[in-house]
Amino acid sequence: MGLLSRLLRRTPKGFPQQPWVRIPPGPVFPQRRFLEESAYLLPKDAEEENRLNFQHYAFNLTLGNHYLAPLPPGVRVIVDSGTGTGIWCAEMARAFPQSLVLGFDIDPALFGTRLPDNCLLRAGNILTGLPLPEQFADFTHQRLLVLAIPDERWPDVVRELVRVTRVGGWLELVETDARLQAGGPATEQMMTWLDELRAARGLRGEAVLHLGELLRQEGVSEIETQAIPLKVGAWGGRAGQMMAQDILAAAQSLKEPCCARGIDPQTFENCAQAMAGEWQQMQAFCTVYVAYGRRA
Amino acid sequence: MIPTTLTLHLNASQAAQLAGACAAYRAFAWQQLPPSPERNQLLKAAQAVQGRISALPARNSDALRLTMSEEERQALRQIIRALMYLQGAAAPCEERIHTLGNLAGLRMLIERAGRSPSPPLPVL
Repeated sequence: MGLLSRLLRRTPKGFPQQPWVRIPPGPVFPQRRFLEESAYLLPKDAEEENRLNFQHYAFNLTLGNHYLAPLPPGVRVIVDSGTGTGIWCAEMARAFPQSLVLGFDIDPALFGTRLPDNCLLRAGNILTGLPLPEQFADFTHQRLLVLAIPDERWPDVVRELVRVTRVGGWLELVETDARLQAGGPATEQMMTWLDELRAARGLRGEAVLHLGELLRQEGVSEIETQAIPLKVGAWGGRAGQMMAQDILAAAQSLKEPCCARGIDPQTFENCAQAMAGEWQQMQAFCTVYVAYGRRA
Repeated sequence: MIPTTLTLHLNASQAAQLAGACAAYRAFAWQQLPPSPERNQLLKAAQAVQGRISALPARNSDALRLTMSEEERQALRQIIRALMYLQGAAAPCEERIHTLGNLAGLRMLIERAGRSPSPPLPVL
């Protein structure tokens, strides 16, 4: 046995022996937590919690308020479907202190803990029906579930949202098609990879282009629809920078599933870095689709 | 200083026009104006007024009363002014004249909104 071998075998107390040879060939990136048995494409972990909360503020800055429907004063019960961390519910509970705000999400793991007294978060899945009686809410809200609701299920989802809204109450849907326009070749490449992931789960995002029609089909009246362009990148000011960070974080969160389909991790990284540079140069933007109306 | 609320006396048609003006301004602002605290303040005021109109008890009545704060009145003045400017820049047509007339009517209505002191606080 040579001197080098003997030295390597003599390790200080408390240290594992030759740890470098015992590291298994694990993943090349930290593993994210994804929901199983759900169409939801994005992860559900602490990183995603941060992204969702950040996204909430980006949307508030961009749209000007937490909600867009012209709510009358005195709204009593507010329901949020797919609430994520519950940050929207908490803000609404503060804005409407006389109301009760209920948030539902398929996974309670990300629920915030510091909530106002009039805010409750519960497990609930819009795809299987919310645990609420009919005509329960004065205002029913759902935002950014384009990567959670398969296109073919959107009519059922809207029907369920209408069911829990009282006659005369308001419903609001806020979505994006999760696509960037005028992004450049790297952005296009990323969108192609993500489209493959989405298509495998039926999350094409075409239904969100017809939110107003979906509401109309369920008998909702006084419908207003908006397609709001959001600048992405520094050319859109602070809001644009926030949106860029949010989209980059969302893309990063889908790195694992993309790489599991055979995309080289380094190629993915290069693409992500390149697309961020393109947004400023090409003046990229995305579109937020909003529809709100009253249950007739 | 005594806080005041303003009361706007309007008929159903004017209420519908004012709600429509608020909706039109919000759509314009989302499409054309970059996000800023000033823009968002106007958006919120328009939304609040639109919401209060939607809650008016008898929307087919000719004697409706809409209350608003002085800040909201100032916001509405800016909104109506912006909409008149936009309409004024549009190509001349019958509809444009009609819309401008309606907006001018709303502007006068808002200018004439009567001040009334806020109800006194209940004595505990």
